[in-house]
Amino acid sequence: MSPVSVVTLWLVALCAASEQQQQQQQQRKEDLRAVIQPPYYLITVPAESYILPLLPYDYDQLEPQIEKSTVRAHYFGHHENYRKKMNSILTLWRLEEPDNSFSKQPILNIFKQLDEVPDKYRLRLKNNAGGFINHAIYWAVMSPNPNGTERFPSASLMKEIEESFENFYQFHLVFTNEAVDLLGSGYVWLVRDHKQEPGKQLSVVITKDQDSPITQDLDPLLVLDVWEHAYYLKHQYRRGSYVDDWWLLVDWQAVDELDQFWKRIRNPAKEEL
Amino acid sequence: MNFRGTMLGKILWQGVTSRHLTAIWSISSRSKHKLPDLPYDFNALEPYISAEIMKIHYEKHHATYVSNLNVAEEKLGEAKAKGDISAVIALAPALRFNGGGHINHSIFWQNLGPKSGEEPTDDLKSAIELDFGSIENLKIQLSTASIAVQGSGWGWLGYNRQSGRLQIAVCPNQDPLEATTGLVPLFGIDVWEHAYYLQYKNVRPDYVKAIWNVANWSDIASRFAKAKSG
Repeated sequence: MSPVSVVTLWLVALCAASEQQQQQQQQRKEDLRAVIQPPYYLITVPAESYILPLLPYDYDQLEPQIEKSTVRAHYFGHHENYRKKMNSILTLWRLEEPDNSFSKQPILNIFKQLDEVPDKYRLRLKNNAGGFINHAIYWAVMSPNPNGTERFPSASLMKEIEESFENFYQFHLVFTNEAVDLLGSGYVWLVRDHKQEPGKQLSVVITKDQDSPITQDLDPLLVLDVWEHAYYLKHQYRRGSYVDDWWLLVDWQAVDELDQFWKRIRNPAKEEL
Repeated sequence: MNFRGTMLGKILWQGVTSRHLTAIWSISSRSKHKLPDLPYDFNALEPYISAEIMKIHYEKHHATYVSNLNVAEEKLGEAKAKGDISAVIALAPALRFNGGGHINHSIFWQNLGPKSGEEPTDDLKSAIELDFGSIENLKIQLSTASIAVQGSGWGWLGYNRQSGRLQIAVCPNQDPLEATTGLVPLFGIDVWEHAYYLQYKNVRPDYVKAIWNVANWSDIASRFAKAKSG
């Protein structure tokens, strides 16, 4: 064999190997997401005490956009705090009203009907269950993007975005401006309002603190946490550069899955077996 | 004097010179807010509040409130000149947020100082003991209230002019204490995450506990004296 063909064969083999490795990694990532439920799934399950949902990625896998120390502090510090407080409020309430079956329903149901929660627990439950649920959705719609490739919505979601916002870049701009302009702590959301006619259901909304559009009967598809704890270790006062980084982490497939999740909840009869 | 002899005439005829620019600039900057001097070095509050936090808190966060306040006030002037009431009202959140941020932080830098080991004395001590039982109890109550703030905000020790008593209050975001509640601010604890995150991460209670080491009681006492007499 000539040296040229040996080198060529060697190069081809190398490319094939790295492509196979990439496929394996992709498969592994898909396997993880296929094997574990998305982080928000557990809010539909009744529980005596809610666990912290598993993240669909390792603590360092959102690097370089979000570093490990922020993920850990955010997850084990803040998300965990909301979980603990939510659980203790539920426990106290259930002890006080052992015959109240509503108190034993999945946290999502309770959260959607906060009026039914006793006055003494309502505000604290709203804040802490809000924190628990908001963060579950936040983790769910992100996925690793170490190469920083630009990502775009699926065709059907893109079409809807174009119907509501002129084009994707207009949506991107509106969302980003809301994030940067939000005064204090809160979230920016892409939500679907099922009460509107098709093609006019999507909008960008903001909530303060741990408020949630779920309590307004809106279905969140995408969320960005702009509390300072979400970005301070890496970006400090530069919220804008955190937002720029975050866009690269948005997993539009996860967004579609979340969209389907709400649709299944609203139309359980249509669920395919 | 003909038109060319007037200031405007000279500007238009000769072009704007640096002397004119200085005049124009000083008129407009007379009403501009400025970052107050920090009474100590960035590292003066260590180890309770790190130099890194102090530098960013002062040079970035407070400075941004100041510049955004100036922008909002300029827009307010324009809106008023045009008689545009709607635009005036639309500026209210920006004025509240940035004006409050400037007021609050200006007080905060004075409220703090290098650890002195001092405790409140005389009048302030008596007032604290009257309204809270003990200095320790004041610390517990203000700490608890500050830690419990949902989201971003401030915990305050304030003076109630009507009752002549000390009172604890919390305000969300940058809402200034006096304009919001009528209480005169004596000592504020900033519990925005930017005030502590680089050092304490999510453990706000540790930061609130630590800040008492750098409370400047003579500043708090003089605010109290002024509020009582005013």
